[in-house]
Amino acid sequence: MYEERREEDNTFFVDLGIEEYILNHIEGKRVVLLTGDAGDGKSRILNNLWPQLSSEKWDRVMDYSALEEQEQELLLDNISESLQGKDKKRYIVAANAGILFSNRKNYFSKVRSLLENPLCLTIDLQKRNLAKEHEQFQILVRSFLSYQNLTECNGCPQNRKCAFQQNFSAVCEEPTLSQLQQLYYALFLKGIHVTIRDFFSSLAFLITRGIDCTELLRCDNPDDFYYSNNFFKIPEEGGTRSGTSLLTSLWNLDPARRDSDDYDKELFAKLNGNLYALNAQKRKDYFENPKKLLSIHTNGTELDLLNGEYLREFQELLCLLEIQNTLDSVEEMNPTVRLIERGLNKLSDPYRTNDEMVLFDSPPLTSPQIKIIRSTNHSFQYVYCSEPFYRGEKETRYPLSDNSGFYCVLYYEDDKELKEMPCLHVDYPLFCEIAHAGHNIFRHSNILLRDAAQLKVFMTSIVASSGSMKRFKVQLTNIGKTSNLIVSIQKPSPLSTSKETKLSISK
Amino acid sequence: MNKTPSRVDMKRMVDYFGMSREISPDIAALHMLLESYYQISATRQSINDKINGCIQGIEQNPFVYCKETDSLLRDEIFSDLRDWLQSYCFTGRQRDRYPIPFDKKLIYRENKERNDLFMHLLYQGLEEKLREEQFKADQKALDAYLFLNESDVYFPMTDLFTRMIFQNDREPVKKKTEPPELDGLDASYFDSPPMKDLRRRFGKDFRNHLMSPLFKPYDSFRRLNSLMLLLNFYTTIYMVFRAMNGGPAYILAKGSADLSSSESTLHSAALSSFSDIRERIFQLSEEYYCDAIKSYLSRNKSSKRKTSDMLCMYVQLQEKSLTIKIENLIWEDLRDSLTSARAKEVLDQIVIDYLQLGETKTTINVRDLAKAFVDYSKKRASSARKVSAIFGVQGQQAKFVYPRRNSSHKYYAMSQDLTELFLRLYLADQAAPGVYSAPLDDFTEWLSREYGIYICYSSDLVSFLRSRSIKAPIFSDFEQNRIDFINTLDNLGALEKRSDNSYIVEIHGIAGGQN
Repeated sequence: MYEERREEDNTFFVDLGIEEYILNHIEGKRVVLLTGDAGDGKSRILNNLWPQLSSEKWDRVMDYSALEEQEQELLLDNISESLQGKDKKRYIVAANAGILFSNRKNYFSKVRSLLENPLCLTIDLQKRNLAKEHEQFQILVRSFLSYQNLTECNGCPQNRKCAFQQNFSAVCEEPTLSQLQQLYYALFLKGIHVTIRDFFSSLAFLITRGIDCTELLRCDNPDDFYYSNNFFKIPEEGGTRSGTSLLTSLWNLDPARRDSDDYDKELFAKLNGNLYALNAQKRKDYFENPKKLLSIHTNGTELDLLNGEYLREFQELLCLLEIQNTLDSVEEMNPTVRLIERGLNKLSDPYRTNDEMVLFDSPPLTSPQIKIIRSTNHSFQYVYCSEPFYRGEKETRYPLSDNSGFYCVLYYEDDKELKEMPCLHVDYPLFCEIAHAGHNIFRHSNILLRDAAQLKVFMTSIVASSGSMKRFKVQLTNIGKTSNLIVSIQKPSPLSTSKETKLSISK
Repeated sequence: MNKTPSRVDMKRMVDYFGMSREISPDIAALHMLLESYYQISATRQSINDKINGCIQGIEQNPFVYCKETDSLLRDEIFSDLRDWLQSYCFTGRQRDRYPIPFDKKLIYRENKERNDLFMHLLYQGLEEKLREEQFKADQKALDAYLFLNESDVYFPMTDLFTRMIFQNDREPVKKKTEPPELDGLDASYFDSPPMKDLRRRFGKDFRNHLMSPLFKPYDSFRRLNSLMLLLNFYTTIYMVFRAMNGGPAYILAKGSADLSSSESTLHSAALSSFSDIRERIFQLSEEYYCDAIKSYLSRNKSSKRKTSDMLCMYVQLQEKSLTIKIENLIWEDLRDSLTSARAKEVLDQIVIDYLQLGETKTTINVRDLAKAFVDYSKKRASSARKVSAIFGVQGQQAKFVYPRRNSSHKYYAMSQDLTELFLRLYLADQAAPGVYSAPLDDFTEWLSREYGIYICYSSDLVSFLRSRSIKAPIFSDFEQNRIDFINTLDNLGALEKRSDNSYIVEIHGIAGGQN
């Protein structure tokens, strides 16, 4: 639907503020680089900007990726001269990220130096989150759906009664719109970048599930095409798994697959044991009655209604880091930070109990009167950094959203920079694994091979830094007196009836 | 009795786990059971003599003759026959099957060491005064089950061939017909209520299998295979019960053995549940080594050693290699009392690495040393590792653990063969003889009650999974699993739909049955 419109009619436009941002920050710049995935709207932005830039000695490159390799290299040379002031021309370039950042090309170093130059304004649309702000999301959805030409429906016998029209109306209303935003926000958290083209295509699918009016008229049960089912129908329900990777990602978030304990059982009985009806009702409730579902998931948010683990916690951590760039667990008593810390400690030594971890790994949290001294005299601390902060990227990059994760640094020497310490890049999948470990949730390991390797290196650093984990000295300070003790911990056998951890204390 | 360390290790392991090694291939379980009941010694005739006798018997038999007149071709035929007899007859069971045809004389004691697992399960389940009587009754029933062909399928050629092949074989020497003496299994876990129930269940299933009309329509080879499946299943389920260490068993099983629905929460929970049980067996191994070390320390008490829970260990460089030392004890004695002598070099290095031993004396908890032994057993083939290997291997042979290829991610699933076995056992268990159908929900409920096998939603199972920190499947995935199980039964032809959500399970074709 969207592609057809795009070819026929170029007037569809939604202002997301990027053109304004560029115009406001362009002063003093010699190069503007618009990068992102295919479908991010780079060409459209360039076209929108051009009337205001064409008279000011700007040269535009509509698609860097379409140039031959030699032409690309020549362009980079020209840009380099412009940045050095040797050429008065200024450049505005649209380039697909995959081509631009391909390190197979022998001029990758030129690209890198371009990006690091302060005279270059880089707009990385790969980092854009279309679901970040509700107002913007509303505009996007309503603009697209209202743009659709519904006058063709006038002669149809099903006019005003068909599933497509019902879907059009329903999707634009609240709370459906907000719940839809949560869905796309969840994709962002999972590290999936939704281009504006894909976004509109998926909206079209939400309305029609890929069929046209003729096919809908032939359907026995048009209610099957109610929008709340369209992203999520499994093959057994008449849906299909084939389609774009975006649709597959949306499918994976199916709210019907979220466990709601006894609520599911009661609903199943009310629906006369119809599994498909149960799924359909749960999806409808997600979009149209989220409060009812939230009352079952205490302390949860809308993200908890989707089939994705720890989405809320991951969002929480990213938001905190967006505001303050770094976090550490000593100052920050945030439960999510504590959960990740427990998880990392648990992964480094799966046999340790939570009690041991409290004693061994968080000495500042026990008591000011109890000081724990490890035999190696090392103490370390986890520090969490936002990705831009860790990489030292400019804060004025637009947009500021970042979904690729964060860095966890093992900080144990005062005179070293953060970047010199062992670090772990944590994206959403790895975050889930760590959080599972923190919650002691048993499962066969799902850690991807790439994560397993970096996790192992990081864990080795933790173990090496912490020294002997079973014995340590404890200084108890009470009214000026200090006692030095040796403490060892015996945890209970999982198979024994006694669940007590025994502390053995000696002088 | 002057037992070698390996004999001590074996006996202690049998007592601790209830079995000493994997029973593989699947026919081994059947053979061990049959040995217990027949207790026949092998004849002293050599294999060649037997084969010669057989060929002579065939040549002299009035009903069998060779049509080939050409002497060279005739010799070739008899040579092929000799090869066949060499491969398949008179040598007892082969690695993966009994030879054809099957005869009582093939069941002879191969070696003096036997695994008493099934004998214990069966025998220990009985009250004291009934043991001898029940044993004789079972022996008779087994005889009839294996060798009296009451099926509608008539195999005169099999009987004739059996007679021809074995007619010149000297009668084996029967040792005795009483139940074999027990080795005095020292295992308190055997008396826990779930284990007692399992032993009782095994006795009932075994007898139902021998005597119920539901198993009569099988020909003799299918009877053998069905019995093998039953015994291999019990080896698996026994290990699960043992792993629960006195607690009830909860086995989350997928309704179908095929690889579909591998993305569901139930599949994920099934994988985790299997891993959890396997992990319990490693924990059991840890307890085993812990107990073994403590009992060694108790036997070697010294006034210089204050406590039997801590050891002072270090290493010394001797002749360019590191030697482990323990204060007031000899490491080699301790080590050799726990494992075979073959293990020493590899084990020593693993212990040094695991405990990070250095030249400075370090106080080591007995449990940490036990973990080092478990670490060794995970890396190298050892008796303890073989015990945990039973878990996966027997499960596959019971057609209960999938996938069947080498994979670290396994789960329990209801294969068609195993489902059919359970269905027949269930119907045989019903109070109304001659009635061979029942509601599906009663069947699935029986599976969970009798074996701890759960296919459908159960709040008890969900609570158990959560207590083991396993994410429970969502309700709709449980329902989908039930649908998968319905398909498994349907593929067997054992299902009838009565209404939208109501099914009957049944077995057809049983003489005198009402469906």
